[in-house]
Amino acid sequence: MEGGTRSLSRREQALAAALERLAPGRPEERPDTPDRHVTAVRRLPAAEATLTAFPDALDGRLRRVLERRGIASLYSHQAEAIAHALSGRHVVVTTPTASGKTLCYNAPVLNAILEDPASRALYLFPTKALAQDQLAELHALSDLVAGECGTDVGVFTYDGDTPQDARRAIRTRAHVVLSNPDMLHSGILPHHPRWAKLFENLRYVVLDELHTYRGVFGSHLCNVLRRLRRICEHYGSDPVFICSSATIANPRELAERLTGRTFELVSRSGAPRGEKLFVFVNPPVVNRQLGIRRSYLGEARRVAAEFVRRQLQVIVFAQSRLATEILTTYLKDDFAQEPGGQGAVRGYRGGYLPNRRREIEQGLRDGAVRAVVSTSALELGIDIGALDVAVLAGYPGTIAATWQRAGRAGRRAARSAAVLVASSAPIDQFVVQHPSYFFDASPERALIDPDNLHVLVDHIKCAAFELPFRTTDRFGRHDLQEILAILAEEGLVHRSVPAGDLDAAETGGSWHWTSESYPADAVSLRSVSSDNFVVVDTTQEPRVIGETDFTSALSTLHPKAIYLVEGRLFQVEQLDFEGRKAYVREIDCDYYTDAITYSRVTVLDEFPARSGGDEGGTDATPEDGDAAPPEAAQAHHGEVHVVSRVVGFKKIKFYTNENVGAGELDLPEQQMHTTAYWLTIPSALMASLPFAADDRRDGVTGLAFAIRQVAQLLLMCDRHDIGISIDQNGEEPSPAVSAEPRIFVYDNYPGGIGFSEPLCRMHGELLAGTRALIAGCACDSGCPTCVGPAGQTGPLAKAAALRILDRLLDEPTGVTAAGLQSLP
Amino acid sequence: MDASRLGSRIRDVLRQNGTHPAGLPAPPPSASAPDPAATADALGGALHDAGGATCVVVEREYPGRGRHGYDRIGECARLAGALVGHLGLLAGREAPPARAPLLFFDLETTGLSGGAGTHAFLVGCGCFDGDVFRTRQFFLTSYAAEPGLLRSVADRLEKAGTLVTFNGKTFDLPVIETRFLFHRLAVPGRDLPHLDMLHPARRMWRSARAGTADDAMTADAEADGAPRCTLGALEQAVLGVRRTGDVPGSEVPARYFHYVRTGQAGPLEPVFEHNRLDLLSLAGLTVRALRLVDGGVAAARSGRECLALGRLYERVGRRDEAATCYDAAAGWPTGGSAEAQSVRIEARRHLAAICRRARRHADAAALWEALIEDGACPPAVAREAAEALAIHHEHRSRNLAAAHAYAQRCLRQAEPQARQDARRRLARVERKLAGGSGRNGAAGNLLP
Repeated sequence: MEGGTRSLSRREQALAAALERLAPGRPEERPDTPDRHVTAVRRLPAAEATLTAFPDALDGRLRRVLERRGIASLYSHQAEAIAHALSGRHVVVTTPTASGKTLCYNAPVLNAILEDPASRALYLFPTKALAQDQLAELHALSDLVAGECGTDVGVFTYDGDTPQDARRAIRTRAHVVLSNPDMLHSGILPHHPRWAKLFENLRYVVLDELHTYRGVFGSHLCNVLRRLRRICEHYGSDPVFICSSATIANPRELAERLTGRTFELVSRSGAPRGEKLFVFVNPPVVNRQLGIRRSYLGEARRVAAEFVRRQLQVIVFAQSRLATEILTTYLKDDFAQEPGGQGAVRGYRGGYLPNRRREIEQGLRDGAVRAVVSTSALELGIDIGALDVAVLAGYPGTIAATWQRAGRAGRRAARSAAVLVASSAPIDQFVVQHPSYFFDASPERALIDPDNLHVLVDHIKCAAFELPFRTTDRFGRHDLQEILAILAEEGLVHRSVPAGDLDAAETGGSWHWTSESYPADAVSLRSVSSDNFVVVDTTQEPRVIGETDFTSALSTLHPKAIYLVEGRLFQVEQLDFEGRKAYVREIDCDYYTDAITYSRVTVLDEFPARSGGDEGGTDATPEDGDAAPPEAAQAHHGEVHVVSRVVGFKKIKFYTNENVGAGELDLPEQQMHTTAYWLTIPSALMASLPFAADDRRDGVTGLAFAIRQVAQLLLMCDRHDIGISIDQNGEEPSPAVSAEPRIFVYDNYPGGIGFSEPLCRMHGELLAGTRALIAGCACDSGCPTCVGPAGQTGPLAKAAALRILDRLLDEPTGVTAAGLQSLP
Repeated sequence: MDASRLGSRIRDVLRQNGTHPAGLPAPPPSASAPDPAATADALGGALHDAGGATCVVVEREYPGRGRHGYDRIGECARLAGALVGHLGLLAGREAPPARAPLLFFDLETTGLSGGAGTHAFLVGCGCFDGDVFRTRQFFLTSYAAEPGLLRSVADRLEKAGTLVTFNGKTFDLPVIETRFLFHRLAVPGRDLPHLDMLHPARRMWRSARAGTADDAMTADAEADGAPRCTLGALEQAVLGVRRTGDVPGSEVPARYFHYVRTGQAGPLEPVFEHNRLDLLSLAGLTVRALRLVDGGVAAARSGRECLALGRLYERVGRRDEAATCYDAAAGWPTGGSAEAQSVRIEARRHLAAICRRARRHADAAALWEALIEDGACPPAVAREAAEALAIHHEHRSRNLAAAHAYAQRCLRQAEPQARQDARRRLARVERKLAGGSGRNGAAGNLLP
């Protein structure tokens, strides 16, 4: 599979040479060096396989099939998971990439079909591409089953691409349906009568890549699964859930919250793996005073080029679409002179059209593509073969995602490497200078808030369309009957009472859908609003070259914005906001653009500080129960109204990142009702600061900058999942600081997705962590790593921010400065 | 969260998501359940007991001496009985499993999207009985009564010989099937022959115009320029039916929801009437189509009808009759309207294909040539004809010069994906011309 011994050793030598150049010496003997270029090298030893015999409950015919597939025994985690599933226990498996996790669910499913050919299974993958990927594997197995046992196992994908005329056959003939949450939501559940055979006989539901179901997507999926459970109940089935997840802190809790079932956890992998070296690189400081480091994109480019030049296959992960395009441009430039060099370096991200993506995946598998620069789009289990090196340009934001991305490089029998190149963002600097935070700590928790009213109400509509609600039913944490009563006022549902049943007149009967609409069509699981913008290239014949979701459209597709596709530059000439289209034209320029957004937050309702008991316990996070609730009035959380507006943009020069110009924009405001955590700095404290008013204001601004980074670290969220705002009186940042400023960290989604409450509970850790970040930074008076670039935040920002933190932490809140040790 | 606050937040959420009830405003919630007996009274129907659950059944009789548009109902009834043997032809099968009696079937539903939340609240059935047309409408008085209604409908379907619908393949049957599946009842009529009149009607009367219907059809024209082929448009154009005070289809669901909430059946009366007229028009169109199929070319009143007839015959393999129809369609004397041109071109195209299959190559070639020379011929058809002629002259007539000219023309006009083939053909013909000129001496002067 991985080439002959000769090419193996060629690869080994090339890898060793490149690593020696990057970080000379033996990794075992190398201590961490936080202030050097390479701050850490860790050797993750190869592991032997732990093999176990097939569980007794596994059908003998299936064993023979597996043996013919070359599987004579199971890895321990497979055997464990299969045994749980076979005896009807819900199970979640967390094991690394390429550890044979698919057998954990394929074996019990095929076993059930062999026992009773009426059995059915539903597999859900977060993307269509992953389902397609699994199809081939399952077909190979089902062919063997047909040959060995004479049982025909129908395996089909069912998604938006399935032709209409094939759908009827799939509904009745498929034993295994491979689909995605979106299709289940809008194409299967609303048509459940046509799927009666599936739902009557549903034995297993497989949720692959479980860790992706967090935040908005997870909150939606939880509700889709609530609907699935109602329908299964209607048809009298009670499927066993088998989930697989990347390593996160709370896989069992996430599975249980998503499905409402009790789970077994299988977390110890029995699969073998090759040795991996993990290297942390921090670009050197070029201006100590200003705390400016060499560009991390340039550094990532140099690191990646070392490997690519030695004929190793490399995947580079970038943090944003923009960074992906910039790095693709850089690397294409590096290899432009080589024959076929341009095509050997490819970019990859969401928003590329599907056939372009398939072509790149194929190129990675067959070796035609030597380097791919990707956003998180390739983080999931798309089959791109085994690569030699993963270069992470910027810390992915979470420990879990970092391991996941590093895992895309790795072979069972050979060495591989992963290199993290830190950016100057505070969170990156913290991680790269504290390697053990990453290597020794547990990864993050995945949070969802399925009872966000925006999400919940949408799914209650869908559920009412699918099956009438009884007056005794529950759905989520809120009072279902009250929600239905309000939907009835809107004419969407109606409570019917059986004629003549006087007892039922007041409270009995059932709620029926009384609208001609098809509610699932109006609900997108991937966002709170289902709108997106398409990008139309008008350089020649108009054609669509990409798409962007609604929330980021204004900041990336505003007039004069530079839009990049695989290194080609386009300028937005016109943004048709109503028509959801951006018209672009290819141009030649040496800069990209970065939007400037202002936001203003108004508090609508403050939630009381959490006490011991909570409603129903479903949304509780028990492990955190021991964190002391902040007693002082500094920390709050509640509902807020956020108004944000893209007011302008900066032009940033490629390579040097100089600011080479700016523009003003007049774009519509975006409004949002969400939840937020906020910190109030008492007026007495402000008044007592030994700084001038301007410097005090700078201190608050700098503090907000740093708090954002630490909040992101604590919440395991993406950068765009939260927004930050400082209490202002006017529209735009006002020159005056208010007497009692407030710093808001809000959920960047309508209705919120559950960050504000845990963040409020972690208030102490947040402040302590922020102080450690600022105090530990080597710059003189502020830099992008702590309180923001000195030129932008003001000369005394760092000193003032530290003073504010000291005072806040001295307040009698019971919080000690030892917070950093208690970081997860 | 206390109740009143939850309430105001939900209202906020609904407002932001832009939910607006359609049609009539929702009345204040009341627990007054619709009363089946009162409903039956208001609609002139009767209570019908089906296995313990009641539904309301409304029956009407249209006497034979009455008219529906141009046609007398008694005459329609007679023809429907006499010509039932042709049903299979309409449905695309030579030997029909189609049997009498015909059951005309049409639903009124709570929405057009389908799915578990779309209900058929009115199931309309119509049939000829002697010389009268009878309608029987099953009405859903409450959601709880649905299984009873479905059992009654199943009984009715049992007695049918052939089911006739308008767009039933795509809409009515899947919707009613979904209701049976929802209640986990056996789906009735799975083996019942089914004629969906949408497709034959579209072929025969897509561009039919009559009287002032012209305006209506133009106004209804869809984006692609083809007139709409709704039952309403067809009944005006073909049957000469004018409805007055008809309830627009878009208001139908709201009227039912109003009934569900208030028990007021009055506003539903026009919906029942609408459904009955749909059944009558469906029956009328079916009889028209049967008459046309029975009479053949002689009964046709337009080139389009001839063309449609030809397609029906051809589909079941009756090529000679099909050729006669196409011939008549191509020569239909209605001048140069766009409609006449498009009928002529389609007819010649089909006729050429039949000739080729019958190995009447010279006839086929003549038709293709006529197509190419026809100024109204769309490029795709001209391309197809040029290709057919290139093949014909290369392999059949052995007129290599003509083959060469047509092959060149093909290449000029080929779509990008077909260019490879066109190039290969041209090269081959050129090779033959260069190598085999001795064998084909007369080639030069036979250019088309």
